Amino acid sequence: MNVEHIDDVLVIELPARLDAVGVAAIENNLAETVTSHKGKVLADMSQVNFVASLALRMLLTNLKSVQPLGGDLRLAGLQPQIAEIFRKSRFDTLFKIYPDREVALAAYRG
Amino acid sequence: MLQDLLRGVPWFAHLDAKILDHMATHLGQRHLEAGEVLFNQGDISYDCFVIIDGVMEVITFVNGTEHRLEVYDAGQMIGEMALIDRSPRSAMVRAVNASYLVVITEADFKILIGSNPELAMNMLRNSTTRVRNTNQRMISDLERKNAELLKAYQQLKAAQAELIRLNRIEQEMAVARQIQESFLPRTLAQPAGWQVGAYSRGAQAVGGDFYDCIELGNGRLGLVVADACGKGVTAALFVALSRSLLRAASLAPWIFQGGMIHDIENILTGALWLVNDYICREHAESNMFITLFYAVLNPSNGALAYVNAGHNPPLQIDDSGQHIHELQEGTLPIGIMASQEFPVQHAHIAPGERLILFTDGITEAMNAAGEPFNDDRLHAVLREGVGQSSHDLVSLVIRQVDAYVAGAPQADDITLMVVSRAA
Repeated sequence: MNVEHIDDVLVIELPARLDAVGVAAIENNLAETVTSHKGKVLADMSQVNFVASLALRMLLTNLKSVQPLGGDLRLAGLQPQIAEIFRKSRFDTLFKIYPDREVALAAYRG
Repeated sequence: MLQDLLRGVPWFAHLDAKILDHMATHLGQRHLEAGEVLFNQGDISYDCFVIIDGVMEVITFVNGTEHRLEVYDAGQMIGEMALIDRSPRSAMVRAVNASYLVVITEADFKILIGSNPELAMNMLRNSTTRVRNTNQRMISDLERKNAELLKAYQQLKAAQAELIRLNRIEQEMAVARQIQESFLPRTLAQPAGWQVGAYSRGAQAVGGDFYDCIELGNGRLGLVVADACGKGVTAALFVALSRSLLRAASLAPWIFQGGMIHDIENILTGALWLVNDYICREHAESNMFITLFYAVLNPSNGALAYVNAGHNPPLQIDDSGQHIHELQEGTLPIGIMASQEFPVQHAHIAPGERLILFTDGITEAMNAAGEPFNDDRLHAVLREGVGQSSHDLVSLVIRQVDAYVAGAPQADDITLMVVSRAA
């Protein structure tokens, strides 16, 4: 899990396989990173090619933890099959989703 | 020259020159190549040997494996035990490198010790020391083996306790599985002109998927397929909770939802609202959610009223099998947002058409290369099964998914329901 700060945005690059094992590997670290940042977070999902329901739960948990602190968790770079999962589960209505990292960062600046 | 060599051997250092001369002319000699055996364990012979040059090793066999007991080199005597007690050789003796020995027969031995009490005393001392050393080594070996055995016994005891614990968990899981199976409908209603077939299989002992077929009165049929986030015990607990609440709220709406509710759509939305509200209220901190498709079918005219809470949209297929389309997606899954509305959507199943309800365990079933079964393969097998009964089509899909994954471990629970209307 690659983490960097771009301006005031915490950008997290999520790993390729977010199955039960993949989620367990990053879940605690991600929660800690996101809650300690308390602000704008962007999950770059361009490397992600599989999400299990536990991955959706992990993202939801982090969204719920940053929103009360005035922050947000937005997503960028969903591969087509991942976008399909977000559409069918309607998780696309929970998150602001952008085509790529640059567009998402521009939206945060605006 | 042999006299000089014998003189250099401590055993013979104090012998008279006369006796040494006699020995040098009479004693047998042995030259051994490296690896050559002087005698084998169990051999019967009563000569003993003094190493003039080279290195000899004493080997015994335990369960067919060689163990080196001792190594002797120039000046040392070997094989005297058999000579003294006339018993078979207790071990094998083999040359480590090229060795040169003199052979002392029983008769020579008697002459030697008779002529020189000091030599006899030395030999006794030597033998006693060897026996003492051997005893000490045996005791140390036994102590070491005893410690190893004790350790092995403790490990075995710990492993056995762990096994008992695992067995108990397995038994409990087997019971849990039976209970969970009882959460699936015992029989599937088959209204006139319709066929309903269904199948569910967990990736683990208990699963996070379920289906239901609820007879709602007035001939209406409630059709449910759901998938709790994750799998295993956590998911199974939420299955038990949401299935029970949903069924109870559907079958006794006047208790759970209050008032006299006759409108079937209100039962549908009310049941969803109740389950969602309950889970959001009571279990918010666990962030668990359930995707759930719940439809009420009117078998008399094929009208379908449904709510889709974040579940894979079911597929509707025409009688030719050529046209497959998804029902519309709906709202977020259950358990995410309290007080969420669940608007009812509508579809119509015409004669000859069918509805396929499934969980993503079907389309995301992975082969060994990590590639999913996917929507295209599901569509292909649904086309292939055109004209088959609901029951047979369910079997066909499951068979093809199993053949596709070809023994790779099942990653997710799989559930499938096929509802077919006669042409």
